[in-house]
Amino acid sequence: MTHASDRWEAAILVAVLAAIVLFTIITAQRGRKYFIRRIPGLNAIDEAVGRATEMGRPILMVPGLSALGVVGLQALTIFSYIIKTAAQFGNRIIMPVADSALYTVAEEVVRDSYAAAGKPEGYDPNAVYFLSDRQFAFASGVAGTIFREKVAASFLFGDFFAESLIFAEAGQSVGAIQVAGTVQTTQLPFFIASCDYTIIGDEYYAASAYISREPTLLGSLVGQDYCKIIVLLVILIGVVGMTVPSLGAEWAFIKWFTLR
Amino acid sequence: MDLKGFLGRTFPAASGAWIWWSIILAAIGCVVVFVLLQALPGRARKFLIAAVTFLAGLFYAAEFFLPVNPETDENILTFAVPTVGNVTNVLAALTLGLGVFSLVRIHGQKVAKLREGWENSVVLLAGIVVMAVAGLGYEDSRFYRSLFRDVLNSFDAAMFATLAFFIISAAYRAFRVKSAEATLLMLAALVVMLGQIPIGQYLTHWLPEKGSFASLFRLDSISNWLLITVNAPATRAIGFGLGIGGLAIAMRLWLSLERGAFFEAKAEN
Repeated sequence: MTHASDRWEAAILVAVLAAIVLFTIITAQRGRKYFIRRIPGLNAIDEAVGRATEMGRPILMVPGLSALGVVGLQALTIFSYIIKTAAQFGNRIIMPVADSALYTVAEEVVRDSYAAAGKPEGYDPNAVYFLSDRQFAFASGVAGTIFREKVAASFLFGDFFAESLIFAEAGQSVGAIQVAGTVQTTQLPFFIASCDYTIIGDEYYAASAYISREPTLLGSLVGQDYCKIIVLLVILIGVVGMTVPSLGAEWAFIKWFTLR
Repeated sequence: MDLKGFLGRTFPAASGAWIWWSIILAAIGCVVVFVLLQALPGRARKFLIAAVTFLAGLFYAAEFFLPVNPETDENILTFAVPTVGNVTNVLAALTLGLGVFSLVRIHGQKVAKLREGWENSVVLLAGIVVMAVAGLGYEDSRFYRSLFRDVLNSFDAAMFATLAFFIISAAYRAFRVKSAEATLLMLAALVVMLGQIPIGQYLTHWLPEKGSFASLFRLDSISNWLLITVNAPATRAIGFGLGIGGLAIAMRLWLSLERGAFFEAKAEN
């Protein structure tokens, strides 16, 4: 589908979901309180930073192969919080980046996070560096860093592909506490097998709301939940439609959502 | 409204010396925008960044939602999509230069100060220079092809091959029977693996393939059931959540609502 007119029904659904998210953001900004459940993987961030402080070893943050987009920026938002926490304890941080556009933003994020934590002098210009945009060249560079530096904590947030297990197992072998989150569902089993905590699915996008508790982000998160309820209802109605013989695949509702 | 024609008349294709003038003017324009951005007070800069972000996002949203001509499958903005894509590519190319500069700076310092592992940095810097020279000057040569195919691809393949060993150690940890969930995971994995390999299929080959209740207990049937009926819906459910989450964060970025995070603070500084 390259234009809305190819499938108006799908485009309308996207517009409705976007409107719901906007609506909950506005209500949150106007003072409505929203609850957010506990996410163990995100609570573990402070634990991991604390452990790195005790061991006196660096903290590794890898945004994977993320480009400068939604996934990469979300990874940097999470890293920004980690850096602020690490800056308070004087931890050294390392952030190798595979995408040159994201690298330029990441450098700014790290510098500003140190400043926001009140420790601008703690910023090391060599902490963030571009490695390579080739998948396995990047993987070997990061794995080498993990082994050489014997990192105490490893945060893997962003887009990961086949190299995910190389990072996670390298971290595991040096005894690092590892927290990972990715939007690539094919890599989740590898992270679950090798990391201490894994952020699954849309928890990845919930991270900034969870960490900051900012009303706008909380509102957006609740909007996402409403959207998921709508999707769930559509699925349930579809199941009922396909189960009831008198409705079936020719029922308008089913045809509306059938891939063409 | 013929937007394409209007823009074509206003900005005719450059040729001859005018190409170079266009490049110089564009470069000067970029410098002016950069200086203006630095000089602006925080509130104005925030407004400008929000406006540019909104307009850039609006272009793609409008291009998607505006009705198209059924014959050409294009609307009034479709013609500009490649041009806007080229702008993004140019920006990405500029940042690649910054990335390479970062790499050279860090490893150059390491070599200059003879820090631990400086020999590796020398190899890296030499590799960058040799590949750049080979790529720029001898792209069709055997030398370049050999560097790319025999050296770089072999290194890539070697790194990829390490995954086989990593998978074994990860699987060992994942399948250790420590709890009810781990036991369930181990059993499911065992059945799926057996269902995919000939020896596993042989174990239950005496059961009928289909058409009988007993056929449901063939290892390959159970394996397929686990993959299609259990695994696929769970993966799709995660996919739905990710899609909606992506939509929400894209909306927040587009409308500059990403509050409490780094980006708002940056705009206000």
